Order: sequence, then C-alpha cells, then structure tokens
Amino acid sequence: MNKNRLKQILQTGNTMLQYLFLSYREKFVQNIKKAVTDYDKMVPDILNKGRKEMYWVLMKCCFRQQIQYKWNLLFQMIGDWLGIYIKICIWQAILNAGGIKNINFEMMVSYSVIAAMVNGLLYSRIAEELADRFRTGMIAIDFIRPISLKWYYFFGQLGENLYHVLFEGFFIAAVSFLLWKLSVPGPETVLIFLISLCFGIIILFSIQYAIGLLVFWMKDGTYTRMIADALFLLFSGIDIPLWFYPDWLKSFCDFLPFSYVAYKPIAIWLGMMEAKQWQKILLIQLFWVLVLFIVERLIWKRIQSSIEIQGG
Amino acid sequence: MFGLYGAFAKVVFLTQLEYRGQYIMRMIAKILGWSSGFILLVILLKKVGPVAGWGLYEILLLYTFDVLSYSIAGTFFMGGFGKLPRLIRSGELDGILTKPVNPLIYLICTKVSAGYTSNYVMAGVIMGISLHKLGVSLSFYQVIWLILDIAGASLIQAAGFMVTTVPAFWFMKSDGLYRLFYKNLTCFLQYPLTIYHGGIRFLLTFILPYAFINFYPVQLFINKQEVMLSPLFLFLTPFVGAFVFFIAYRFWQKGLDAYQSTGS
Repeated sequence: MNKNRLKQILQTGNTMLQYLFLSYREKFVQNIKKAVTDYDKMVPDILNKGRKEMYWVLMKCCFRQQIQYKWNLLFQMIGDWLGIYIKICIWQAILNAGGIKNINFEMMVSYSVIAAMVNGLLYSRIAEELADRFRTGMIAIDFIRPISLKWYYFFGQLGENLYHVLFEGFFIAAVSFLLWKLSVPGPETVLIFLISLCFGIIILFSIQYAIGLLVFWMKDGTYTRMIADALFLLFSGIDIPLWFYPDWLKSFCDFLPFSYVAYKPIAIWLGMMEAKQWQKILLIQLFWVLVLFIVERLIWKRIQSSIEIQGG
Repeated sequence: MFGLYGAFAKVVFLTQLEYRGQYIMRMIAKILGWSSGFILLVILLKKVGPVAGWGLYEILLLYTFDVLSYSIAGTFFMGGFGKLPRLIRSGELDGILTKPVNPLIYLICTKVSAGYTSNYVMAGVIMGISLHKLGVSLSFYQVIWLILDIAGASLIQAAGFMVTTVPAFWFMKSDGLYRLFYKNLTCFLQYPLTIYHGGIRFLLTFILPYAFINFYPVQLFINKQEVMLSPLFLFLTPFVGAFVFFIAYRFWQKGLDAYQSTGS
C-alpha cells in the first residue's frame, strides 16, 4: 500500500469525522449516510496504523468543537467555581463545629478541588448516545464500520473532557492551590495518581458503555443512566470523601468499582496510601477493567446474535 | 375555558402513565437519583453533627422544601421551558401561537410531566418525618401557611426556569445561562445560607430571591431567626413568589413579542 493511498484514506476519515461532529443532529443522518458510502469504498484498505491515527483525529475534532462555545465555557467556569466554593464553605462550617478530628481544612479543600477535576474528566454521555443510536437504528451502521464503537466513544468523550480540564480545570486548580496554599505531592505520587486516574476513567467509561448497551433491551437510555449516576454519586466518594462514611458502608464500597474511580485515586494524591496500599489499588483497578471488558464483550455478543436473527 | 386546559393536561399526563414499564423504570431512576442526595446528607450529618447550629432534621427540612417546590415547578414548566430552544427551532412554537388560547397556559398544559410524582411522595414523607422528629406539631393555620409557602416557593422556582430559558428567543442557545443562574445557584440552598459569605446571602435574598424558597420560610416552623434585615422575611415567601412570577411572565411576553416581530 503506497503512501498516497493512505493519505487519501485518512483524509476521507477526517472528512467523515468532521461531518460527524460539526453538523447538528438534524443534518447528522444525511451526512452520515454520505460519509458511510464514501467510507465503505475504503474499508478493505484500512490498516491498523490508519486506524490509530483516526482515534487521534477524532479526539482533536471533539476538542476543537468545544472551543466554539466560548460563552458556555465562561459560564461553566463560574459555575464550577461556585461548586467548589459551596463545598469549601460546608467543610469550613463542619470543621468549625469541631465534631471531626484528624482531618484538617487543607485536606478537605485539596479533596474538593481534585474531586472537581476528576469529575470533569469523568463526564460522559456515552450511555445516552448509544441509546440514541439504538433507537434510531443507526447502530446497524456501526456494525459494518471498521472502527471500534467503544473506542470511538471513549476518545470522542476524552477529547471533550480534556478540553474542559485543560482550559478551565487547570485554571481553577491553579488559583485554588495558590489561594488556599495547598501543597502538591511529590512527582512519584503524582505519577501514581495519574496512572490510577487513567484506570478509573477506563472503568467508568466501560460501565457507561455496558449500560448504554443494555438499552438494546430497555428501549430508553436516560433512566438507566440516571441509575448509574446515582450509584456513582453514592459509592464513589466524589461528593463526600469516604472517610465520612460509616465503616460498614465504607467496606461495602470497596466491593464496588465506583470508589476505584474517584475516592482511591484522590486518596493517593493526598498521600494517604502507602506503597502496599496503592499497589493493591492498581491491581484491583486492573481487575475491574478486565471484568468490565469481559462483561461488555458478552453483552455485545448477545446483541450481535439477536440482531442477526432478526435481520432477514 | 378552564376545562379545556384541564383536559389538555389530563390527556398528556395519562399518556405518560400508559407505558407502564417505562414509567416504573423512570420512577425508580428518579427515586434513586433524588434520594442519593438525601442519603449523602444523612451520612454526612450523622457523622459530623450540626452544621452552623442546624441539626440533621432541620437541614433535611430545608432540602425537602427545595425538592418539593422544584418538583412542582418542574411538573408544569420543565417540559415546556426546558425544550424552548428546540420548540423555537422546530417551529412547534409557531403552531402554539396560532391557537386561540394563552400561549403560556397552552405550553404548560400540553407539556405537563408525570415524572415528578415520586419526588412528591419522597419529599412529603421526609418532611413529615423531619417535622415529627423536631417535635413540631402544626396547627390548622400553620398547615395553610405551609401550603402557601410551598406554592410561593414553586412560583420562585418556576420564575427561575422561565427567566433563564426565555433568552432563547434572542440567542437560540441559552443553556449556559440556565445552568449558571438556575442550577448552580440553587445548589446553595442545600445548606443553611449562614455558612456562606454575607455577599452570597445578599445576592440570594435581594437580587435572585432563591433564599425565599427554603431558607426563610423553613425558619418559621423551627423557631429560628437568622435573617438579614427584619424578621418579616420569614413570612414573605408567597408574596415574593407571586411577584417574581409576574416579572417572569412579563419577560416571557417580551420574548414572545421579540420573536413575533422578527418573523416576516
């Protein structure tokens, strides 16, 4: 396969993605049909290398798309600030009451700020989008596409989230760290935090994806998503750190994947985990990634077979 | 005339109940979604004790006022105003304007949502439990006043929806406004406003009167007096509600006028 050919394929891929993301939902359907027919001609020639580049392009597209909404960004920034401010006021009031020992204000502020960052990275519409595609029947197109549906959503969402975290998250974090004079842990701790955060993101996106696939039997995606969100809020520690939970509930949370998405990585950042503990956390995270991968494969297999049966 | 609106609302409400499975699913999701907020609050306050002199049940009472009035306002206004940009874009709004009825009432009645019933039940039960635990027994007049307070609070919430979504007439895309000036600011209401900076209390009392949704009216029932100017504030909710709703209504009419004059 020569270079020019590859270039051409990538360009088509690129236009297709632009069609996908720069157009509004009404236009979406027409555009995707055109893009898919264009694209289908290229299918046999797609190489692995091309595919990898495509994920990169996809991430960039979603990233750029967000830049168009500047006002929204400003409002969101103020809104996120308010969120952190509310949290900090609550912790302040609670600590003033004096019922809590061995937790200090700085720790609580760090927790709130880092949790807000993590939450920004975790935002996902995967379940809803997938539900939409099932309802409209677009999922049929995804079956013949040479790009993995799962990774397509992962990278699209990640691009969007990275944009938010880079442009507003880091700004908010920097100001908060200066304002409250928070300490930053050493480089090793930051590195371990980032690794476990990546695992956490994969875990949560996999859960969302699996839930999105359930829509195949449930018909409506928003409510399944609401349930997943509520479970996440309750058991992940994103809102209230798990050290405020009663012991029985805390050990219950250890059996669920959610705390490995938010609480555990943040605790690593705060330096609450010793070597043995964080190694264990990373292992369990890996375990959850594998479990969710298998679950999602199984669901997908069932869907595929039932679709093939239905199709004449 | 009134019967006509009632018939609209009834049909819409019943259609939503028709899909049993989906309705139950929706209820479960909503109950879980809203109760998770309650549960977190209980977990935290059981552990840390009173916050700024407000005990667990007093804060729960604040929360139920917020949830209940939000749900009442949501039942009637969320359907229409949440989708306002889409109604404008798809031209559905033009259809509404051609009908010989008041467009606002028509919009409300045809977009009534049945999704909040679980919230009424939940908030009602928790309100009952909190009042009981606090040893408050309501007299007949107090019950009437409670209902008036909830009505006023719902009107404030509804005005909040309207004022933040009506700019869609001018800008097309206004969900940023809605999120910041409605969603984010009402987050302050979960806890007593005394824990925030005085400026926030001023903002939420005089400029965007969300504090009248729960912070002031609740104090009347639990014998607290944490007010800014005068103890009269504890009684103002129904009046503030009527007033801001009137302003929101005028704003909606302005929006409609602007919309009609751009159409050829």
